[in-house]
Amino acid sequence: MGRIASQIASALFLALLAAVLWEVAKLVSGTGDIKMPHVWSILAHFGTTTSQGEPYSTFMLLNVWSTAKASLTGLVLGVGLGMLTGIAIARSRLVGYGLTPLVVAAQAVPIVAVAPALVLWLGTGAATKAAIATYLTYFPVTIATTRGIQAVPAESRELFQTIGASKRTVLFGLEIPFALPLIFVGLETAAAFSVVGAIVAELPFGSPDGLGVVILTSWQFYIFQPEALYCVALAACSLGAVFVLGIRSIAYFSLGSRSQGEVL
Amino acid sequence: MADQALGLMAQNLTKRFTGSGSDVLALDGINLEVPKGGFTSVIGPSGCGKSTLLRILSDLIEPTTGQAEVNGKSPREAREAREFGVVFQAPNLLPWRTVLKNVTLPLQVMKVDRDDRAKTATDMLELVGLPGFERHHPWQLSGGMQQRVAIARALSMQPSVLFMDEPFGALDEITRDRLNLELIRIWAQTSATIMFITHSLTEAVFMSTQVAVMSARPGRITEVIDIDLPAERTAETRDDPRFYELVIEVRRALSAAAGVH
Repeated sequence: MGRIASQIASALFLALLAAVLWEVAKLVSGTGDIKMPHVWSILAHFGTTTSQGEPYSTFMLLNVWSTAKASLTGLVLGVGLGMLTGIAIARSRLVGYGLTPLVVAAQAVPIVAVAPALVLWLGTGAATKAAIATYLTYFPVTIATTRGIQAVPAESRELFQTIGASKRTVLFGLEIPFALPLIFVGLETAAAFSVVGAIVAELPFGSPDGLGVVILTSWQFYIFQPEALYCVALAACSLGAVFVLGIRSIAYFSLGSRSQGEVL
Repeated sequence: MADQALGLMAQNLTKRFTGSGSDVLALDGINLEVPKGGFTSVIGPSGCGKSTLLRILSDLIEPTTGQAEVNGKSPREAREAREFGVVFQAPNLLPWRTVLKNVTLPLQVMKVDRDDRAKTATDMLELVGLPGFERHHPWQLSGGMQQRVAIARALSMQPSVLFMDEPFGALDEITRDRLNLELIRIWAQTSATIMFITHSLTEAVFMSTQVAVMSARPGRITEVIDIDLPAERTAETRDDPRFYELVIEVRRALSAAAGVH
């Protein structure tokens, strides 16, 4: 657990460092408060009230929650589908030949180009956000799972063969545990992508709430209230960090002793 | 055909590997008989097909022609009846499992009751000289200790045949000498039939009841030498003049095999 605590500590230190650099850059370049508000006025903005009379922090938390729900749904779906695809590709040469080009081609599709069509089919709500988050999380997990399972040493497979293990035992007793450290690397990338995917889905398509919506409105009212844009950027970064740290914690506990010893 | 007294039998075995543009005759007309409870070492230069022979007998690959038997059954039947265990060159332990759980792996596959398998594994760990290491993880053990765990795992199914593919090849000589003695003791206690692949002349002579010498390309057994040392081998056996004579005889057979081509 000490490792996670120290990671949080170093993240906080980096945030502090970024704040100092921001102020130094502002001072040196002589940039005005409209383009670069002071760090403290950005933070103070969290304490203000919106035009609806709601505390700004509550307003922000509600929107973070809306994005987080969609990201998490997408992450869970993407991880599930990605692992299944990865297992299928790794286990069957035929499936591998068929699916790998598709997976790679689909990964090259710019999501912003597909998003309008998704909005037409699924509407502007949570479904579209989750769908795009799923799409973005699917690939890193698929590839990590495939690579992880393909890296199982031939000798370990032969061991399972000599003891008469079924395909199911090989999958759950050898392939998945062996691939797990690599799958977690893919999961970390996926966790960050899931937040990006949900925000992208909220941006230009008339979503009712979420961080993407707040980014757009803050941008529109930038000239009156520049702090808001930086508040929502901070909120988005924090959400991404929470997701990635969450995955790291799960990895830490599920890999157990393997995170202390030689792994692969 | 099936001789009840034979632990292992190979008759006219050939194995041809054909790939794109390559055609290698790995084994050519292999005949070998190992009596039940016998300890046969197979020695030969790298690439002579000795591992291929072991892999055919342990049903990891199929021969091109010829017949292989384990306890009078086909290798597949013997594997399905779990009559043999295999020890590989690398310990091949699963890093996410404790030592105990590595040893119980075959029993778990056989769906042996949890308490029974823990008990068997504890006994096997004692047999290989690792009592009290049940809860350790593989990375906490030395290479020699890891290989002992691998032997315990192979023995946990209580097989009547043990295939060992250069199990001590990666270990230093001191550890290897000690494990040779341990293996002799384990062999005496389990009375298993052992087929042992090795590069080491002294190791082969010290432990075996017979040594099969192989030549490379194509892989043939050129000579089978009976090791008529006293049945009980100890550290002193290595000082026996007869031991030296046999080492010299096996070395001569190896040179002769290499000189054929």
